[in-house]
Amino acid sequence: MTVEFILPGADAAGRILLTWTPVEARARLLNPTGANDVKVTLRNAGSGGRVRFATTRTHLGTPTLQLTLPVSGAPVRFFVAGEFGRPSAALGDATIEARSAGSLGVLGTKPVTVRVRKDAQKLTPGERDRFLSALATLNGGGSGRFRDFRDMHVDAASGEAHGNVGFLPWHRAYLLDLERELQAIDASVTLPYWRFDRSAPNVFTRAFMGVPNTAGRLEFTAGHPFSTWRTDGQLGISRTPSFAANAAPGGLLTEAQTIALGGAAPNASYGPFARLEGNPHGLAHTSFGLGFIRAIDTAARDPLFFMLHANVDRLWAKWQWIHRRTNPGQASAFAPAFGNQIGHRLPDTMWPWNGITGAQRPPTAPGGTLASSPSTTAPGQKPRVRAMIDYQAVGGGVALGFAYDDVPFEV
Amino acid sequence: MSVDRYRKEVEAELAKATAQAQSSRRAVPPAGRAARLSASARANELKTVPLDVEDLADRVTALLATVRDRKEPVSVRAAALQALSALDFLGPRFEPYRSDYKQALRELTADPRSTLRESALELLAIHKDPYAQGLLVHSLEKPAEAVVSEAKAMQFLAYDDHAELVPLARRVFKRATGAAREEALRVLATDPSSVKLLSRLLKDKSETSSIRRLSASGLQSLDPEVFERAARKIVADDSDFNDIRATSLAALAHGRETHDRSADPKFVETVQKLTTQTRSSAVRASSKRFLRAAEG
Repeated sequence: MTVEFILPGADAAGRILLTWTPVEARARLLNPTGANDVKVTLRNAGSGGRVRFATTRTHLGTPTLQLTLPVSGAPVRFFVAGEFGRPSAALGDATIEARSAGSLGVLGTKPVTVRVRKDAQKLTPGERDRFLSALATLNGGGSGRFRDFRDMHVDAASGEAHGNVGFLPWHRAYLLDLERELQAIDASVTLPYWRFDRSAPNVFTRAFMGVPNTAGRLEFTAGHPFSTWRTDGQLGISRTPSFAANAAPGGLLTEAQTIALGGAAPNASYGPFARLEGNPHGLAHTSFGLGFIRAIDTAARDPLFFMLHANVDRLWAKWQWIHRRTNPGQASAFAPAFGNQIGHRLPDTMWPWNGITGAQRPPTAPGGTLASSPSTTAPGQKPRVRAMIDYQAVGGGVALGFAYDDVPFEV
Repeated sequence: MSVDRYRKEVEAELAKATAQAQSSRRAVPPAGRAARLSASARANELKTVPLDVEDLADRVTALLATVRDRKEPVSVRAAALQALSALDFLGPRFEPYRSDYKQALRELTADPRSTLRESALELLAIHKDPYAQGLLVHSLEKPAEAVVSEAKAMQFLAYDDHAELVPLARRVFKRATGAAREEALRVLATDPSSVKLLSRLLKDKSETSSIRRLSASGLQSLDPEVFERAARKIVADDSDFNDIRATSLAALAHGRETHDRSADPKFVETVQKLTTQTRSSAVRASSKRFLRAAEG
């Protein structure tokens, strides 16, 4: 007699990838012995990430859950989510175990991964190296799929992504698209974020994001995946910080100050919060005296750009969570677009994933539709601004399949 | 971790930060404040003032005046330039001010402060500004009148991948040393006629590791087959430098070679041996990465 777990969203290798958002799962008896229903306790048995269980869709899950599994083999529903604060460090390092209440012992196990975006400063060497390797593979020496991400973030398309209320949703979709491409190369990878309001000495090293030489070109450890980095015909990465490697850039709003931009509870509103586009976002870009990252047209040549934007997105996520602003129908969760600009209104599809070119849109739409994910069906191939708001599906529906290590799911 | 408890902690942190911010705002009266602040405090304040939509015009005007004012400390002017270039990230919202901003950048190219000069020249070069490009070419042709170093001039010119820089880069590569020579090679590495040069440099053990790494990267893009042959020889050569062997493996791991593993099982075998036999941690790590990529 065994217990089978049925969880949605397995990838091609059968791996289950969870975030903090509970997913509906089922457990059932296979080859039951005897005539009675069997009581089992679901619990964690992994060595890394941990999960929580519940019988409803809640953030109040528990480390164990008792279920009575019918001898008929009928499945019993439960919810499972990553335990906030206990993400995985490697694929399958969390395990759901079903243990019999009697003497039958362990009746079934299911390895899962609690996969969330983490602070780049705190990555393990393994997590760091897998991220670097996946990104270098995506770049393919300058001729890989990464080229599309370069071509999306250029001056000619800046109006799609900047200077209006769609700045945050557009970049959320952009990061998600890139992250899914990286995960297709290595399922364990998530985009790390660079907390630019804190010192990040582990990030600005030769083993990670590089250290500039006298000409401002980054140097890496021998054999580093970026040691032959090439974009748009340019070999290498140019970046010279205006701050010490063991200090944070000066003048940037802290996390608390950024969250306060939107106003205090209960009146916090997206409109004023979106001023983060200037400070800290813009100032983080220009906290480098020289380098690609200082301008829209060249920023995406530098991998640090994506970690910077992951932090901007995290700040939005944290603001959304602390002020409960995840319902796109709520006036304070988003704001009307300045000038009624297309691409920045809730119902609009976003360029380039919608493939629309010309007229009010840029002349080309690189990259095709948004990458799919085995873990979720959201937000679809041609995402709308609205679909980017409730990324964890707090209000129900389908989550986008990413989360941050310091922003929980909470209903 | 309990989400409810975490919420209380974060809310308390935010309340504390908000109270501190309000307290510090009350501490200094606004009238005549700027004159009493130190240069570093002023620089910091220039950057931290929120960027309201309503007062963007006033903000930009004030920042442009500061960045142009040679009587101001360089740190204050640099902060103003940083804030302006941050505003440039607002895309269409900054458009009304972009020509004034560009003009200010052009003026900075003649500034006595080299950091401001370099910063402005790079920003202009990123946007392929012909005035800046002219200055950079002049700097390379007449080094005595250069506005930035040879290395920077070459680097900034390369932002325009349509510029015909190869003849100039060849001259710089021949005469220069160090960073300027490397920057020139980066330009040459985009030119198909450089395959022989890059191939020679990659194999030349007397060259610096930087030059050989750049050659590897350039060659991989211009002629992947030539690169792969050369790289495999380097990887298998115990007498070559480990950093070059590791770099060659890294390039192979993320390039074409991994998609065609069956074409050269002998090489895969060589790399497998390296994972256990080499004393270099860099070569070992790169070997493992190559094998993982090849398996994938």
